[in-house]
Amino acid sequence: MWLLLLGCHEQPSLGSVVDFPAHFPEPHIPGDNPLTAEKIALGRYLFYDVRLSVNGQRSCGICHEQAIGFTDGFVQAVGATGEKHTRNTLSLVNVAWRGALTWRDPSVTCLEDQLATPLMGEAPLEMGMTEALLVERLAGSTLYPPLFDAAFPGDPDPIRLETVGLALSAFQRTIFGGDSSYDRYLLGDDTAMSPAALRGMALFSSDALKCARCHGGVLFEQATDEAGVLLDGPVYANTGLYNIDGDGGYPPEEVGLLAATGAPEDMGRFRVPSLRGVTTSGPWTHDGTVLFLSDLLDAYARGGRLVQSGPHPGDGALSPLKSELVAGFSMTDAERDDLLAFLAAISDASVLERASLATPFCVEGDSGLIRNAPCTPPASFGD
Amino acid sequence: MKYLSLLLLLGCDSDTKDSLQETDTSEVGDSGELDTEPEPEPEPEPEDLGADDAYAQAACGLRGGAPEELVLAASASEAAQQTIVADSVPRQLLMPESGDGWMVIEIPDWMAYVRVFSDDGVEYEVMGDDVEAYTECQTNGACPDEGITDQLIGFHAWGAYSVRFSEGPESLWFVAIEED
Repeated sequence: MWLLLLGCHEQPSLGSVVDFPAHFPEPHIPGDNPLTAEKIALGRYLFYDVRLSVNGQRSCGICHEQAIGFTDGFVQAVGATGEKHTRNTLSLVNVAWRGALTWRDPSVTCLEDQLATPLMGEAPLEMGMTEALLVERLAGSTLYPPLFDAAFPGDPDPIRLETVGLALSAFQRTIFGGDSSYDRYLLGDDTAMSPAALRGMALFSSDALKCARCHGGVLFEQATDEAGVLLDGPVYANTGLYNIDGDGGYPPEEVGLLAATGAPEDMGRFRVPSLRGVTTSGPWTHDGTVLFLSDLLDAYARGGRLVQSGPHPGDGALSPLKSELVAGFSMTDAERDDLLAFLAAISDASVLERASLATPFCVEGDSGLIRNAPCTPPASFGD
Repeated sequence: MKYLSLLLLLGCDSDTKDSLQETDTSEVGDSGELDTEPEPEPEPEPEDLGADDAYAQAACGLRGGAPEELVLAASASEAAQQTIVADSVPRQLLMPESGDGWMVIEIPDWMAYVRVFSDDGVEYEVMGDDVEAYTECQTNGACPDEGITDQLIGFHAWGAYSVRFSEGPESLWFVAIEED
């Protein structure tokens, strides 16, 4: 695990240059990395620049694509050199509020620290960068020196791995969505949600389905007690996706929180993700093996997923390790549709098109532009 | 998204080939009626023979090794249980006990050209609205006696594409090589 050891080490401070949703809790913004317009602007360029990968094949924005909710659309992520990973790419939407940033490592809670993993991690290799090569490329361009000077005024040597992490984190904290039809309903617009979505919301919060027990709070990722009171800390849950051995076992390449804690009962426990944007962030689950969102609802309804074929068959409903909250429920086709309508209603579609979050390298509407293609600077690493 | 859009792309489909061959071998005489004399066994049409290039040769070279075994899923819903990339690794795909076999191939490039080589007679389809078959399913031109097919598939956008193998042999050899 790479650690930059920067940011996240002082008392939080609210950003003043970004209008975060007023009905959201305070975002996690480290005191030693306050948001500034210049830093966000620099971070936006860096986020979308393929120079940040060893072979020019990846940028942050390629694997976290705006049009599909800042994910990549893959089952499991694929690194710059073509290596297939073992986990699904998490969305970056509302990452400023996320306590635990990864699927199964509770220690990774700070964007500034985490960024070195995709940038320079070797197992798995994501972008394959080294600090020396990164600095060489950025310092050798005509684009970046003035952007770094503006973002870090007074710093005599601003182009460093540390400042890259600060700027990228600043930009990523501006990736938020709090203007869904659900939000408008929450803020008093009784007409904002469709009847189907309202019925779905009632189901979502019902004692029968218990969805909100793990997907609570305004971001739909926080645990709640039976009375609906929010509980502290991220939720890690075994949802009965696998049971390959009858003892609740998961495929060995991804065993969940167990990999971090060594505790057998943590087999198959993964971070409960936010449901905001869930309708555009598929495939779903930690390993992306659910291709259809309705299938995921069906798995919860039966109290765990039944894998009937492929390399890992088994009945997750019979797992002794699954969460007691995944007990199953009955659901009609109409109720499934209502739930799906609600999940769509909690997703702020404007995030997918917001100009301030788009790549600064490509002109919107550029004819012939292939979705997400690295349009500049693809070939030469100089300007 | 591609995995939700089940627009079919023609893969190696022997029904299609058979149909074309039947049409090609029906000849009409000067009288406008079908000739009744038996026709000799037709020679393979040149267009049925794929290129003898570096990719085809690479596939021939991979034929004799010990392929990695993969158990295919039995439904579109479970296709992602078996996910690969076009990594030039030969695999022996094990079909479900009954029905079609499914997997996902991930293409992490734009405008990617992928050569798919498999056993002769295997039928497969790649699902998605960003895929296009650039060639028919042909005989590998580098080793035409090895029973290997060769098809060039273009993926216009990166993403995860479900692949369906029609019910047939219990196991099949398969390798996907992305062209440079």
